[in-house]
Amino acid sequence: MSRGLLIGLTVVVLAGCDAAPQDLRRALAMLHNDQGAAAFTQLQDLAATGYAPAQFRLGMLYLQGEVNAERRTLAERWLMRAAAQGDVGARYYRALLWLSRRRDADAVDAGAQALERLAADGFRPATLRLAQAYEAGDGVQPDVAQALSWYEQAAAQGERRAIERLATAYQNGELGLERDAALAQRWRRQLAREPFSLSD
Amino acid sequence: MPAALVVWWFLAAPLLVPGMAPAFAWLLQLIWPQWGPAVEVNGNAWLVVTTLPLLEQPLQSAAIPLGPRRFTAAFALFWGLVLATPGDLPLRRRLRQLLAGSVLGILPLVLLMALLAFHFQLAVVINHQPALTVTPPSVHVLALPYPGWQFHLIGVGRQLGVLVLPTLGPVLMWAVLNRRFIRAMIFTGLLSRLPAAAGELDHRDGRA
Repeated sequence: MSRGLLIGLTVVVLAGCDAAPQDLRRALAMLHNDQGAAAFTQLQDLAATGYAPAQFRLGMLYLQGEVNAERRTLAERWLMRAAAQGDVGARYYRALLWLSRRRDADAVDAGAQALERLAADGFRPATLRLAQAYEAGDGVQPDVAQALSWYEQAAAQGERRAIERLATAYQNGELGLERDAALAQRWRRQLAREPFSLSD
Repeated sequence: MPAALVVWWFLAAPLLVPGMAPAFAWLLQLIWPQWGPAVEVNGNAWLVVTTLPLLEQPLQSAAIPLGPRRFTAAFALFWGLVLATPGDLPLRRRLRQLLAGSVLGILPLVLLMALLAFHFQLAVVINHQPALTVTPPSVHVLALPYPGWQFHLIGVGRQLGVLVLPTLGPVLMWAVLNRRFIRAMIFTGLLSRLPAAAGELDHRDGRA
């Protein structure tokens, strides 16, 4: 009985000592303290063990600074691996990478679908990004009806930038909408109720 | 009780906040290993540093502040109740009760309160949804939101941890450790007066 209790306690204590997340945190702290080389090595080691958050961070490191074809390939490789394990950041940035390949229709489609899946999972930045992409024709064909639909979904979820866009669209008669000062005002009132800072 | 509050405010709380941080960090790592949480002590506050990425370039990670001092007031309440309990309990037993109750009862309770409050802060950041006076940062985090019902349940947990447990917890702990006193007070004290009071009423009615 007491041995079972001891084993149980040991398992519980060790369960709280998962090394990979702590190593990742240390690597990120090193990055923050301008110890880039050491952090990069540690991230590579962690990513090689199959730890998705480290794979995502490594992929993102390759995307920072001056991006060339080789860095982009490496970034995509690590983002793919992390995304395959369900890492949300990797799924999002992989979708954006695909969308940015404007000459490759299959990649653009895959990017839009990946964003739609993320939006369906409730990830609001993906919903907003889809709306912006369809409005500007960023990667995808411009489609104001789609853009409006995604803006409305994001606004319904409380996304501030989508609410701002809808208010402006009703004010100026954009996104295929008739000018409607009352609706513009209604969206603006909702904006005033949202207690977020305006920094973004 | 005032003495216990003074001891807590000036002596105990400044030690408890950094002292409990490792235990809280261990619990966080047990419950949310995926975010690699660590606790940094900053005066009277904790800063829970995570690996939860923020949606900004270059990538930063979310850090969530938490004020644990308010939860440690449960210690003062418990100490005050134990010291103020009437009875012929020897000093050694009373001190033992104070120590055992603090370590085995109040300490886990305070950690639970802090966990419930932290979970709510985390949910507000992840869902990017202001609730119960807590406002998320302007940037999103790269994580899927909690479903609505779960988010509200976490909010209920926060209310329990912040409003109910800090006062009710120490009282319950004291009551458990002083069952004899409670029994004596209720049964031999209050209940024994009832027949006498009832008899007095009958007597008055008869006289009338």
